[in-house]
Amino acid sequence: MNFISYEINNRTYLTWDLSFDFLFWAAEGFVGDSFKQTAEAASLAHLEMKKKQKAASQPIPTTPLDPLSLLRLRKARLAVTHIPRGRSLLAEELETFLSVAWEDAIQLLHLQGGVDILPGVSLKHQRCNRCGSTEILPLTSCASCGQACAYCPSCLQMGRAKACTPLFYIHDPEPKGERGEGVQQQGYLNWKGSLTPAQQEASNEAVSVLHKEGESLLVWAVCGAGKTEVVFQPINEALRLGRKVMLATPRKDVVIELAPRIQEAFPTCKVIALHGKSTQKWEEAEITLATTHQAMRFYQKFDLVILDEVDAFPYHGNPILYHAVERAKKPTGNMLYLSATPPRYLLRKIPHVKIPARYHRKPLAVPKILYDYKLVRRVKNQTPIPHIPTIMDYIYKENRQAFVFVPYIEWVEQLVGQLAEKWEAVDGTHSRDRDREEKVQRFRQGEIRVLVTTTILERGVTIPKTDVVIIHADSTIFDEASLVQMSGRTGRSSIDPIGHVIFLAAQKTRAIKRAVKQIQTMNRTAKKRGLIE
Amino acid sequence: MRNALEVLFPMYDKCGFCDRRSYRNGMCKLCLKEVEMIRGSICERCGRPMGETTLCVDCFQRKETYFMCNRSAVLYNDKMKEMLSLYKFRGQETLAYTFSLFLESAYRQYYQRIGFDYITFVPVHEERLKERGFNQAQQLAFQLSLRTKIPVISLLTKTKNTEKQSKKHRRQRLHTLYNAFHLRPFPARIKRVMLIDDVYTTGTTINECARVLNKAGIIVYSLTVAR
Repeated sequence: MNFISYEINNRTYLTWDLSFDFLFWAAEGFVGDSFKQTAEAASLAHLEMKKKQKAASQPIPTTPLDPLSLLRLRKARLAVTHIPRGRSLLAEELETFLSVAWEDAIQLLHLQGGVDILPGVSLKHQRCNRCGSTEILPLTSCASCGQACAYCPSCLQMGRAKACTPLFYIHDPEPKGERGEGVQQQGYLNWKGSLTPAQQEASNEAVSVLHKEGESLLVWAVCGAGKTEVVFQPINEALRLGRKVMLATPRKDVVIELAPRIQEAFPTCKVIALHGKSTQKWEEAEITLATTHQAMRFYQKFDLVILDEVDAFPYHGNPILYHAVERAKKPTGNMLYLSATPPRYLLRKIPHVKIPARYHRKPLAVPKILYDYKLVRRVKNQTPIPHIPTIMDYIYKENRQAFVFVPYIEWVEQLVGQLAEKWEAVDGTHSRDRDREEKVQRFRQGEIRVLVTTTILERGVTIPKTDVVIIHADSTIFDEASLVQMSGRTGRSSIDPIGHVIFLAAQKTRAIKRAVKQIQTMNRTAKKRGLIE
Repeated sequence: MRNALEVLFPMYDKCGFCDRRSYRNGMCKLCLKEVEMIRGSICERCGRPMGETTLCVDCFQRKETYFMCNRSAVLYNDKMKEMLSLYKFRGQETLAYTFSLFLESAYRQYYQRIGFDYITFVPVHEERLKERGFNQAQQLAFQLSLRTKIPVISLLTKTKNTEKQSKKHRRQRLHTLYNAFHLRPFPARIKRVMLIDDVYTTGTTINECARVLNKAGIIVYSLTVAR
């Protein structure tokens, strides 16, 4: 699609069909000679880079308002009411949703000031306007726009954002009346559980943030501290103030699992769950649960955005991607980050509150490091690793289960082969395993005693009475955050509140040092605050 | 100098499908494991892997065959299906490079001795081209041309906008494609061309293209990524 930019009354507009614009201005009764075409037709990204042409003002060409054009206008007006508000959508997404007269409708909204039109990929800033990624591929010739074009490989799975496809930021009109009008006295929360003192403190802090415009808070809770319960009261407070809430989390299964829990806690509110295969994508609700990819499809819609597991993929080591999710919140809205291992740049930027202990009032397991400088060679040559028999015998004798984390997919099979020779009920899984979910299920039921896995299971899976062994913990794949997360798989229940964490490494790396230090600091803080015995 | 630099700062390619380090043919070890290369005896006509080197049942039953023969690099298994749909329908254009490496190895294996005048490709209807933004066969042809130094020529246009072939049965395929391709003006002396496409399933598309080219006295050999 090629666009033209023009000025009327010193305001710039973009259009791909001038005839509709003239029709609109004629219908508005807008005549005069302030029309200036500032750029030739070109794809949006190229338009952005072009210098503005100096053009003399012209009179606006008058369009006769015959029945046919009036019908066109009326159709567009009707279609406008169906456009979902507060979204950032690609042209093709809008097309599949509206299908009839969508071009005219979105243009009408643009002329009324309700839509910003941007290129999907900005060549000027070398950035994807949808996901914020700066890894844009080199220019190729594109048959759709006939010009040099680029697409964003990072958000390809949500449809291709190209330099020539328009991306619409559709504004959400502020509801009429003052902010804080329909405040309810009693909340919507119907939850019988109770919070631990540390959770309560964090929860109160989060609620108080809601009363400050544009403020953010990071809740730093150790693995298994109950982050989900902490957000109930802030959500309740936001709903009481008549605000919209979104909870974004990186994983689809978490969204699906969380939806009924939130619905139960807020029985009178509408809760929707958005993920790739969700059918509720276009619905409006008070509480929206979304995967982070779906969260990118919103534009300044929510007053409170809660971002779970901020350090996980796709944000991992990529701070730009926050912006794509932060875009979903109104400029006056609040942001709540939840994490067990917050990245440093976030800690520097945002005030945080810690929950350093779990509900069972026991400290976190501090990793024990065992050195074996021939470790990598031993795994590769399939020769026995000296520490393994001791660990495995203990696990089987005490009737426990264990995660064995390895850095590479190839190692999973090798290690399973080595372990299965001596011990029974050993299995392995990784990101390419088609039976992964089934194996995790069997591990939960205790049919598999020792599960060899890569970092994909570092989050989310909680099983009582487990130990953790990390093979080659000094690998560059494991950073501080993933080491802490993996260590956090132990001691999740009160039956076995601590557990064992063993790092097998050839040497101590910075990541190992920091991970151990982080866990020790958390334990010390908890002790100081009297949260553990 | 360049080698020295490469030793000091090794640049590695990424796998076209996932983001791991590439091992061979622009793919990582794990993805490569799932791709089945076509080796050993094949059908003389269509390049299907078989027990012995004769005609396969499909080629035997086909009434008129206009192409000399077809050769493919890999089997059209689940992995390839996934990769080709990522390339064609989702538009991951970087995969063109990976596939062209497959094509090249098949070219070296089967077609090296045949002197081709040109490489040509299966066209896409203009509307589809606008929608998708690129023609996969054309991209593959260009990439292969860079590696084999045979020039590319666009010989065909598609004048009927047919539905996707992958959604139809064998008989329907032939019916909808009949007269869908037309010849473009071309220089007089063309003897042999290599026709590039992404996948050969029943051979209807290739055969129909070859029929049009045959009429103009051009001998067609075809080369596809998957079979």
